[in-house]
This record gives sequence, structure tokens and C-alpha cells, in this order.
Amino acid sequence: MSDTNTPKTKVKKESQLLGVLRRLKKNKLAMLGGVILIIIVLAAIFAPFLTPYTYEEMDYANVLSGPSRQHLCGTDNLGRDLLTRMLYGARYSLALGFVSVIFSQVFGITIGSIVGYYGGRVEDVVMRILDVIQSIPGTLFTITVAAVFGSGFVNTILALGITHIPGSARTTRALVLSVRKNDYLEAAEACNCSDIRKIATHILPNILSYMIVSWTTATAYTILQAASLSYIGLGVQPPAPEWGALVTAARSYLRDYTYLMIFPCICIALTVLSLNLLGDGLRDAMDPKMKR
Amino acid sequence: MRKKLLSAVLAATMVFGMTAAPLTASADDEKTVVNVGIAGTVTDISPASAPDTNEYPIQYTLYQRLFTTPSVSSEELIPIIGKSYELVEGDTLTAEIEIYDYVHDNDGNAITVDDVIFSYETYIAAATQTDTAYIDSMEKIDDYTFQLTLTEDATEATMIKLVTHLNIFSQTAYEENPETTTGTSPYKLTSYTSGSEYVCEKVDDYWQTDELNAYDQQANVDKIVFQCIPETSQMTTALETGEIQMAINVDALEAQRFEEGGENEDGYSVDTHSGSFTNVLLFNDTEDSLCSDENLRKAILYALNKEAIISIVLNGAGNVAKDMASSALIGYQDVWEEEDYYSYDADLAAQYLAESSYNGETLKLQSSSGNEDLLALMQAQLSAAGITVEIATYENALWQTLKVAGTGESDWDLCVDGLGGSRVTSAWKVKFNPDNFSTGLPQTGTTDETVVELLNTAVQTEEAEDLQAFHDYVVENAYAVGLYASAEKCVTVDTITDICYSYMGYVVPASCNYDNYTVTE
Amino acid sequence: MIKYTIKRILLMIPVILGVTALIFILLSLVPGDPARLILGNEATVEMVAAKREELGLNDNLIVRLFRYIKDVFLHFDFGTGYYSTTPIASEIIERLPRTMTIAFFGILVTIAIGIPLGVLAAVHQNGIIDRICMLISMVGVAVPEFCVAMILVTIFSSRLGLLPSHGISSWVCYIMPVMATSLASVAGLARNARNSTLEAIRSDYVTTARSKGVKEWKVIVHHVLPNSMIPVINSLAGTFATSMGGTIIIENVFSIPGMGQYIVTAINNRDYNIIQGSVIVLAIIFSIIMLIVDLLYAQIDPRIKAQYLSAGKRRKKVQ
Repeated sequence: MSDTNTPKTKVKKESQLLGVLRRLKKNKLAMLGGVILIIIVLAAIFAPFLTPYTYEEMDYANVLSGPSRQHLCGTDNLGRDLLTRMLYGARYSLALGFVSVIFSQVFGITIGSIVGYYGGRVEDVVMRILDVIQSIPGTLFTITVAAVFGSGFVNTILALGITHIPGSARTTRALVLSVRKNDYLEAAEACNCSDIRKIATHILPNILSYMIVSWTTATAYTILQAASLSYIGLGVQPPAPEWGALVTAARSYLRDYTYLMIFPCICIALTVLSLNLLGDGLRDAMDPKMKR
Repeated sequence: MRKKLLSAVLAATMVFGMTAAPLTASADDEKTVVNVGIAGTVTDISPASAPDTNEYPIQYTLYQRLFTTPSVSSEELIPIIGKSYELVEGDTLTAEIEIYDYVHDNDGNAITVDDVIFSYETYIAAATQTDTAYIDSMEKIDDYTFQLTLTEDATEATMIKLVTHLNIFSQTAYEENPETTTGTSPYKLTSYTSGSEYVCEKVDDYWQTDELNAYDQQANVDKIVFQCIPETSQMTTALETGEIQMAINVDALEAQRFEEGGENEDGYSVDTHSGSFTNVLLFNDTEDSLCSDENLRKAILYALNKEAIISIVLNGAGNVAKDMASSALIGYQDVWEEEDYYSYDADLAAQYLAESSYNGETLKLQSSSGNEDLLALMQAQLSAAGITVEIATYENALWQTLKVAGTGESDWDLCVDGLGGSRVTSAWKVKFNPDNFSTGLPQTGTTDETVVELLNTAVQTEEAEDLQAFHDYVVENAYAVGLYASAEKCVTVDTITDICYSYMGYVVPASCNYDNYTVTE
Repeated sequence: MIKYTIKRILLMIPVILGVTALIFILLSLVPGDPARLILGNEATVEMVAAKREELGLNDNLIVRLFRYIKDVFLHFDFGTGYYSTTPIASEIIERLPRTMTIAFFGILVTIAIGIPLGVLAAVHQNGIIDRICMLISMVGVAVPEFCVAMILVTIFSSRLGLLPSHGISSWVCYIMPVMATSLASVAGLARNARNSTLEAIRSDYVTTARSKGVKEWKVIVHHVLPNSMIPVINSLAGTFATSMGGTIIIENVFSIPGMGQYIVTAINNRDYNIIQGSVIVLAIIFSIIMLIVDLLYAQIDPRIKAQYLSAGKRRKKVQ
């Protein structure tokens, strides 16, 4: 993913976030993305109320039955309702995406802002290490870390989170560097605030909107990676119906029961698409020059 | 002195007479070629490599052993490289083995007893076949005769396993090329792509005469191309598109459409073979686990519906097990078929559960990868009986370290694991021989010494009553039960007939019947 | 330029050593005993102890790391896998070309489709073509590569029977893997191309050229493209990373005996020696490709070179 480029514009003062939101509202595609995302999140939260089945419930009489009134998206090889599994799967996929991004951001922002703010020797060392990590292709690094942690929900979150720390730290550092030169920071410098306070109250709020853009795209990317990990046997363990695991389970039934693969694929695609649309919209909204 | 030579030769001639086809005497020069799909990724075909189900058909095509047997459930030795086998008088643990004096490998290296001993030593060093640990000594008598002596805790069954399981190769060839050593078989590896394709071609100067060639050492097709196709659905697609003509170990559901009445029955045939392997359910009997409670174990066993498992997970291709070991094995008692072996009974399950100390805790049910569906189904069945389990599968190699209870690394309460062998006792030993595990206890971690004693007696005597005693004791205490023996499906184009299985139950593509087969290069 | 090239190559050495150390340390954190994995559970404690000694597992981490680095970089020896006698190095030499073939043709297809798509979209900004192009690229990036690969198999192998579903027996086998790997990277590249073209279109010299009455396509070819392609070339390294990562996963769908299949099989077997060797080799290759892209970039954009040569200052890397 190459769309976490450092924004080039200068950071504006105050209420920038409100302005961004105002412009975002006018972007139809972004709003569409936002609406789809909210629907998916709500579906995940209210999954038990939307389906009469549980995601482990097996209907021996209806094994591998195609979409029907009883099972809207059909059943899998163990007679489990696919729609139900996808609804509950949304919980896993979204949680993997959001939690591991939050995890990586917490560490990434901390490292990035400290390094960007203080600079010097520490910066050199940290940046060298980041250089090293980033000379390994992203997917490959994720697979390696995931192999070290092993499979399982928590392990997968850790693995995905850790692999995204370098990117997040780098982006934060670049943003901090660009803000540091601003006038108001010099003003803050004069008021004798502590460093942590300066970072927390003056620097982070100013880069927040840029961070949000990278969060949306990072979440989208993470959901894709989680699915890929499931495919190669890492990732969450069955019977957890993570979407990637659903697609993977369908691979034995491609020819005759294609719907088992298609429906979860659509779920992944819709979620990632809406996150990306939202991210693009946010970027455009923050960078009026691009929008003309 | 017990002589087995005569019966061995007799058996060989008989079996040969039954199955052997004329050695492809097609008039035209075109070579017949069969593409064989293997349901997994094979990367190591070196002669002494670790056992691997997917690799066997390839290894079997390229290498030969001293002897073979007519089937899994027989210990009649049929000569391959070995010519005769006899136990030294008064000693059941030393065998004198003579090999043919005109064996040579496909590089032209003559095979003598030195090479046989070298092959065995290679296996000992590689430690890939556990039974090599029982080899005490090997003594060369002349160029074509040697004595094989086993350690005291071994039995003759161990000896037979050794002479039928270990590949023989020449020292020169192995030292030149340990990865793809040239073998003595009628086929030679001509090219390969590790992990994808292995091309074996028939050689012109195979050492053995047609008359003496064993039933599973035939060369009925000129060229065999093994292709690794781990994805089940791609295997059958490849059959349909003509990329392969034989698919080994096809998923039962996928095989359905090639079977009679299926949409693709024309032009294909499906061969079903009940293997010697069973899947067993083991309970952690250490103090750390709730499953050390016998009542809970029984509750779990009665809550499982094995018929449903077979019909859904195996799509019907399997049999309910009545012992840990498969009914195909030597020593299996017919009376076990009639016994009640924890058949599904919700009431009994509830009754035992009420008597147990179980109070809604979450148990851990684990297995090796590939058993996800099985575990999910068991989880659902147990949940219906009010027992909560959490399932996890582990990669095969890792599972080898996790599958032993009480090592500190494993944390399962119940697990599903496979076992096999040629005798019920050797199959039982896989799980209950304390020597096999670093804990010094059976795999379940049970400290019950009776079970080990009963096993040892059964192994030594092989008497019906001792076999029965061990079987009953394990059933009574519900330490471990067999779930099912799955059947393997081999789908071929219908011009390939008489699918040949080796004594271990694996398909031997070269020794099938290709009389009407027409696919050429 | 030579001086710059040498400097960049020298700078690569610590990165490669760093990667090796990082991967080695990472994989040594894994619990479990390789000796036991190699010997299986039936092995006795003594056998395991002897194997540990033989493998040198009793030495401390740093000693093992240095020994490993020495073996790898002086003798090109990665050892063998836990369950096989085949040297990892020879296995890699055989498999790497296949992975690189897919990744290389994948990126060719990506460039051939992605850049025109992006430029087209930018030229017709906010028009119907722009919308369609961007929609295609957004959907392309929204589906995991292995799903794309599985959809391709379903259509072209299972249903139509047109393309082989597995293996590498002929060049035809590479068609679907290349298609599957390029789809995701096409999307990324098209976006980059669109953005940088848009930026170039808005620049003063384009306005000037237009005001002089130069034909629109000439403006695009002579004024816009030369400028807009600079950042695109720079992003190619990232595209290659995506492509390579995708290949590693996709190989498994098509049973292609490349690095991806090797790594994934090793992961399933917990064969960390193989994972270690493979990841290090791929990372080195990726570094070399990044270097080539950087050099190419410096050739086009002299500012970069100047920045590099000025007293040890590092360029801000674009991910």
C-alpha cells in the first residue's frame, strides 16, 4: 500500500477537523462508504438479533444446500448457516482490523512522536531499525511475525499490530517534523510546558486528521492481511467465522458450491471498499487543492 | 528352525499369477504415460526420509525393500530384494536374510549385503523410522547373506516391519546423491520439480525376472508423472480436464460425481480402500485435566454420534471403529464388532455427566490440522450434551510435540490423533508404549501401570485373551477410543483397472492394470 | 553517478545484515525445540540432547547469530530443513526464479495497465472514464489476492476448463497467477499515476503550454508525463513489494513450487530454518530492487542524488 504518503500541505490551525468534516459531507462516494461501513458495524453488533441461528449451529439435514428461504445464503459443508457465519464473522474481521490498527497506532504514534520531537541519536537508531524492517516486503514480514506468534485471535492481532508499527511510527515522525517548525510551537516553547504536554496538546491534535486517513486505509489493509493469514493456515482458528477463513474453507467446494466463496468475498470487498472510499474522501477533504 | 522361504515364494507366485498383466507389450513405439495426482506437497523423496502419506506412492515407485507382504493384515513375506528370511534357531530376535545375488540399481551399481547394511544404518542415523531403534546389530555373513539382531524388548513383528519398510539403495548412489538417490526399482526418476512434479520412467534393464517379480513391483506403464495437487477441488478438476489420469486420496465429496450415478461416471472409476489407519479420541489423564474424571470421559463418549461424524465429515466414506486399531489389522478380534462401543446415547451421557465433577468448565479439544471439520462437529455434539469445548488444530509437525499429555507444552483435555500399524498391538503401542514418550507414560499421561502391563503382555504373547484383556481394560476405563477408520478414494480413468495397493495400503500406480490404457506422450 | 552508486551499495550492507539479524532473532523467540521437531515425539531424551548438541542449539543466541551470518554470507549455506536433507540454498535457487517470474510479469502487467489507467483517469478527471477507472481500481484493491486467484480458478479451470489449475508444466500455467498478483497492484499504481498526473496537469508549465495553443495530447505527452512519472517510478518499489507479497500467497492456490509454497509449507511444519532462509533471501532481493529503483530515480531526479551526497543526510523514504 503506497497511499500513506506524507501529506505535503501545511497544517492549518484550529477547527481544521470541523472543516474537514464539512467538506467530507459533500463527497457522495465517501458518504456512501461511511454508510456501508456503519451498516456493517451495526450488523456485526446486532448479529444475534438478525438471525435465528448461531454460527456453530449445524443442520445435518441441510448440508451444502444452496441459498433458500430458510438459509438466505445457503449452508456450508457442516450444515451451518452461511449468512449467520458472515454476520458473526464481521465481528472477527472488523475487530482484527480495528484492534490491531489501534495497537499499532498507540505504539507507532508514541515512537514516532518521541523520535520526531527529540531527534538526535535515538532518532538515528530507531530510523535505522525501521529501515531494516521496511526492507522486508510487508506481506512477508506479516507472515513471519504471524508464524512466530502462531495462530489464534489474540496472536493474530498482535502479529498484525506489530507489523504495522514501523509504518505508523514513520508517518507520525514525518508529520511531527512538519509541525515542529510551526510558529505556535515556538510560542508553546516559551511557556515552559513539559515535553509530553507539548507533544500531547500541540503536536498530536495538529496531525490527528492526517492520522485518521492512514487509520482507515491501514484498517482496510489489515482486514485483507488477516484474510490472507487465514488462507495460509495462520490467523484465527476455526470455528471462528472470520471472513478469510470462510473463503478458505470454501476452497474445497469451488466448482459446485461457488456461493460459499462468493458471499464472504463480497463481505470483505464491501468493507475494504467502504473504508477506502472514506479514507479517500477524508484525504480530499483535508487537501482542498486536490479537489479544486 | 522356522522356514518362511517356501511359503513366501509360493505366495509371491500366487499373487503374481492373479494380478500381473503382460508387461506392456504395445506394438507401437509410443510410450504410455500416466499422470498421477498426489493430494499434498511433496518436497523430500530421499530414500530414508520421514514417513509421509503423500510421498509413499513416489517412494514406492522408485525404491525397493527386502520384502513385501500381500496386504496390511498379513505377515507372509514376499521376496523383493531379499530372497529368503529365516529365524536363527532358538532365537526369535535374530534373522538370517539372504538377498538375490544379481540385484543392481539403475546406475548399474551391484547391490550386496554391504549396501543393505549401509541403507539400514542410514535409517538409524536419520531416526525417521522409530523401529530402527530396536536394531541391536547387523552381521555380514557373506556378500549376499547377513544376520539382523534386535534388542530384547522387540518382537518378530518388529523384525517384519523393518524388512518390509526400509528402502534399500547402494552406498555409492547415496553418497553421490542423497536427495534423489537412484534406486533398484523398474523406474528411474528422470526429472523433477521439488514440490510440484516427479517424472519416473521405466528402465530397460530392470534386474529381476518377470517370474520372480513381486505383485507390487510391476511396471505396467512406461512413464509415471506424479503431480502435487494439495487443493482437493483442483484434483478432480485436473482429472476432468485430462491433466491427470489417476487421483490418489480424493476427497469423498469430490469423488462422488465420478461414482456410479454421479454426473461424471462415464469414463472414470472410483476405487475405495479401507486403510489401516484409525482416528482415536484420547483423554488427558493427568491431574491437570478435568478429563481425569472417568465419568466425564464416559459422558463425552456417549454424547458423540460417530455415525453422524462419518456421514458429514467423511461423506460416508468410513467405518465406525470398535477398537483403537482398525479391523484390517492382525490380531483384531471379531467379537469386538458385536460389542457396544460407546454408541451414541444422550441419556447415558446425561447420567454420567451428572455423576461427574464437571460444572460447565471449558474443555480443550485439539488435533492436527486437517481435522477442523471433525472438531467443529464434535464441538457441536458435545455442546448439545451440555459440555463446552474449545477447539484448536495445530500444524502436523508442531502437533507431534503437543500431542503428549503432561509435557508442560500441551494443554489439551481431549484430542483426536491417528494411529496405524500392521498389528493391533503395534497400533496400540503408538499411543500406550511409555518408551515412545518423553514423559515415560502413555500419550494420555495416565499413571495407571496396569494398562502398560496389559499392553506388554499382549505384545509379547499376541494371544486372543491377552488382546481382549487390554482392549477391555481401555474400554472400561475410557482412556481412549477409536472414532472411525476412513476409507481412501482413488479416482482413475476407467481404462486403468485393478488398482494395486501396497502392503501398507498405499496406491502403487505402476502395478495397476493398464491393458486397455491408451494415453501416450 | 558511480560514486553515488557505490555509496548506495555500501549503505545496503548494514541493512541486509540487519534484516538477517532481525529475522534470526525473531524466529529464535519461537517456543519449542527444533531438535524434538526433527526427531519426532518418539525420540528419547538422550537422542534429543545429542541432536541439540549437533545443531549447536546449546550456544547462546549471539554466537548462533554470528555463526549463521558467517554461513550465509561466506558460504551461502542456510543449512537444511528440519525434515529434509536437501540444502535450503539449493532449494531456494530452484524455486526463486518461479516466484520472480510471477512477480516480474505481474509488475509488467501492472505497469502496462496501471499507468495508462491512471493517466486516462487524470486527463478526464471527474468524468465518466475517471469514475470507471477508479472504481475498477478500488474494487481490485478491495479483494484479497487469494480470493481473486480462487475466482479465476473457478472460472477458467473448473467451469470453462481453459487454463490448467495447478503446477508449472507450461507457460500457460503462469497466466492466472500473474493476473491474480497484478490486480491488487494495478489498483495502487493507477491511483498513484492519477494523483501525480493531476498534480502535473495543474502546474504552471502546463498552463503555459496550453495557453500557447499546443494540442492537448502533445501537452500530455511532452509536458505532463515526463514530470508525473517521476513519483510513479519511485512508487514502483512499493508496488513490487505488494506484487511479491501477493505471489507468496497466490503460489499456494495454484500449487506452484516457488518461494511462497516453500515458506507456507515450512510454516505448517514449523520449520523455522526454511522460513528464516527464505525470508532473508527475499528481503535481500527486495533491497536490491529498491536500490535499482532508487538509482533509476536518482538518474531522473538529480535533487535526490545531491541530497544523498550531502554529508550523510538521509533521504526521507517513501513507503
